[in-house]
Amino acid sequence: MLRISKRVIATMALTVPLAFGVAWSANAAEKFKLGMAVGGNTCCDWMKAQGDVARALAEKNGWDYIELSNNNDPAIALKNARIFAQEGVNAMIQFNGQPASNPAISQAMNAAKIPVVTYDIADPGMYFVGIDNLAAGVAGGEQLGKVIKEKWACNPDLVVSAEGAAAGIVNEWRTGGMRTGLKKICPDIPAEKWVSFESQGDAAVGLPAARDLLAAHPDAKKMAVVGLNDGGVLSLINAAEQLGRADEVIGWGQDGAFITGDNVNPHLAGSVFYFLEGYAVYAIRDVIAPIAAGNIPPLKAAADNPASRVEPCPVSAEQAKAVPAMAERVAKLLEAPAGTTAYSLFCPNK
Amino acid sequence: MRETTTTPVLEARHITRHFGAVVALADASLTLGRGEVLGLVGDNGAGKSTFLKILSGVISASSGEIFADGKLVQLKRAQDAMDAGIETVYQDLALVDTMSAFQNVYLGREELSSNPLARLFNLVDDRKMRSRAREVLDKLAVKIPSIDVSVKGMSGGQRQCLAIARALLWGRRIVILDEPTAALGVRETGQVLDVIRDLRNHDVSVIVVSHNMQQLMSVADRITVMRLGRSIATRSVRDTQVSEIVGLITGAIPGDAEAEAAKLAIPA
Amino acid sequence: MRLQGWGTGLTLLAVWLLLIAATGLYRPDFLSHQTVLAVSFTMSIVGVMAIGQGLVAISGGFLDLSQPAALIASSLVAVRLSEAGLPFAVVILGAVLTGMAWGFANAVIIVGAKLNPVIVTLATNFIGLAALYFAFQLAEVPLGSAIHQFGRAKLFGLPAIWWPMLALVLVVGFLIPRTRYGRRAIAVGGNRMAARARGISLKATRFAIFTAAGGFVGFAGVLFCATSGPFNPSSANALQLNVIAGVILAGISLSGGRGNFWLLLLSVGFLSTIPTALVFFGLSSDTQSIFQGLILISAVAFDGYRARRGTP
Repeated sequence: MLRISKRVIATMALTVPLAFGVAWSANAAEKFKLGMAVGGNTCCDWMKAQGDVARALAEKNGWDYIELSNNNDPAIALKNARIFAQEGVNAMIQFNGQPASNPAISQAMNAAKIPVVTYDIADPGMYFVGIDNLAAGVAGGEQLGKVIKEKWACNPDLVVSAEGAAAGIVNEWRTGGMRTGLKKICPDIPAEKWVSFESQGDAAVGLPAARDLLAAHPDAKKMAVVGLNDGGVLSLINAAEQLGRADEVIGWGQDGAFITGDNVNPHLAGSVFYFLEGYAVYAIRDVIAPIAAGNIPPLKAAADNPASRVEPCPVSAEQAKAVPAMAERVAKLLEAPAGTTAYSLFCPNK
Repeated sequence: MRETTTTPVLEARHITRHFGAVVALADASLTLGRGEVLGLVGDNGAGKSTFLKILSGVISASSGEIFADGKLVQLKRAQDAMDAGIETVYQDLALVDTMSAFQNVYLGREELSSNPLARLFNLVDDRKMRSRAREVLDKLAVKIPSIDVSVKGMSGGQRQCLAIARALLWGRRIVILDEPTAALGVRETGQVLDVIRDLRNHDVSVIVVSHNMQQLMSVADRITVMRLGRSIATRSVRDTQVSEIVGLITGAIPGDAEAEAAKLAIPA
Repeated sequence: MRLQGWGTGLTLLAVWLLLIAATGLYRPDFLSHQTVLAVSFTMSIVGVMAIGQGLVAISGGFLDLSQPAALIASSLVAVRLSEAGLPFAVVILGAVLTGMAWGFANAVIIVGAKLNPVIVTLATNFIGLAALYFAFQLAEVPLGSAIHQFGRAKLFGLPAIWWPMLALVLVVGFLIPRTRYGRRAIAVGGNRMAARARGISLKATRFAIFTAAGGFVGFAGVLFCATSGPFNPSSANALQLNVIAGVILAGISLSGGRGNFWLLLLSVGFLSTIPTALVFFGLSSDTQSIFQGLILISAVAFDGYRARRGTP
């Protein structure tokens, strides 16, 4: 019941401004127009939430807002950028999880003189807003290292990395960063104990490969698991449960997708929150709003020198209990004063 | 040769069929006596296939009546025709290549096991079907390599005989054969014709469509000729010759109704 | 007939044993209970889906490409029912009925609009995935629930989810060639015009087959969500290729009318062993996809060869 009434209110909240928007269409030409291309990969509900937050913030600012989905497809991402250009947006935000088309998008939008904010995956022609994936990886790896040091005196049988090659450099940063962080705490784990498998960043899809990896290392008992995301780490944990070998598995994920709520796997010791749903706060506060006000900020396009930096928030499973689930986070974020980030609201480990 | 004094096993009266504005069958009738072999002939487009399809329930007539054993029947589906005792053997559509001979013979009418538990699971009685199929094939002197192998490798004649034997096995009283010997060699044709003659001895009535007049004259009792969607004449084989039938088909000799009309026209 | 496909079966068995022997020689620790578990877990879900796919193929429906979306829809129902705390039997029933309803809907479109089943199921898979994306982003059975425990339990040293797969393959493989319904389905697949001329209803057959096939996908959905951990609408897409390859390798002809479902145990077992063996050979997952693609192509070629030769 509660859920339904919320949905009704949300629908009304969306339709009422829409009705006014029609009434004010005479002024539309003068209004600032923001285009948002969401990632559109069905894997992750945060991709949809990124659009919801951007829409709410744009409406608060009285801007026109157009949203398109990239459908996790590089060609569609490029097409979407061209649509935004035709529609005459004043600025554009995108999450392009298939970054192959980023150079073409960058070129097209520069030609149209439309500034672009890109999340998490850098392109030299776009404002970078997002996490430093390498730093996030290192932060998670260090936390896992501390657990390993305490429980196993830095002597695991195996360190497994759940990769997702399709994410490209982001995969390397996160899994590589986690290994680096782990090595900082436990420098003497021998090279032959580091293994990896392709999880495709999806707990269900990665499961068979995880079982195969376990079968190929039948003697490993104490296993530390790092990964591109929580889903990848979970695929190995679930596989270990099914093969009867989960007793001494400790995993630490990235992105915090499966560390909140009441269905947290006991072998997932922690994760790193980026609060991906709330990226629009950073983008609008530090890039879009200044552009709308006529103060175009300098182009900062690198992950290590970003236009706006999202802080990674490593949390243990215990700490994560205090963090609300995503739907609630979005609601609270939109209630908070303008410019308040999810990190400042929810990270228990600042 | 038998006399058709009793009620005909099958009678079709004034059958028509339109496909939109196209008239495929204008007025077709036929009568089939018990134990009789009736030939159905006509040029391409004369309406033979449409007529056959209506008699076998594959398509339905626009108007007209069909009687089986003197009773009016409605043939809306293939099953209706089968229920009326009519079995149609199409040249290409008869058999499932991937199934064995006896399975093809029993296709669509598989015998369920007599064991009540097996029946509950819808299990069939292969032993019974196999032995009865073998029996009937022997009765008609049909020679096939084995009733257990796929029919794919069998010759056209063997396949045709198998399809005909199926009719007998199922206790059909009327068998319709569409060009049964069209693609067959001499020896195989002889085999099929023997089986058709044999059907008559088992009290089965047969309608045969064929282009081969010599063959028809040797196997049929009577021949019905079709032209332009009408059945125009029926002749007893005893009283006619190939030349007359060919003349009727081509229109060189007028049909019965036309002749009648001509007779009426002369005095006027 | 009574031993239909024994040649294919022997070939499959030989190739499978060869793979096991070769991997075992290279890495003796391949021959372990852990390997058996890894293979049999993978085999279970693919095997049950392959029964459904096999039914569609043998009756001349060629392929049901909507299996991934149907599986996820059924899994989602299973998750929601177990979240509501309902008994495991109700959870299974709900998932199976969901799959059957899905198959029935496919049949309504295929029969009603007289369209090619491959195109229709390709479309319903797309539509289904999109609709599922509106319905949920992630779902997972409650940890510790009956279905979650079922996904981790063992019976006689093998996964609990493996045994229902075995039972279903054995039962379906027994019934299809020996029942009236089965034989008519095979006839429709072998020569639909001949079947129709014998009074077998093509429409009724198609409805029955797609609904039954959907039921198997629904049950596979139970096995899937019992083991998968959190899944999303597209998590089952990767299964499609293995299921189709399994059906073809088992000699269930895509042109219809021929096949022995028991051989699915060998074909799916063999296909599920390949990725595990490749890991022992130290090959990456990219090479696994290449191997699977090659095996699918050889299976299709073999199927075409058999169809031309007419070997039953």
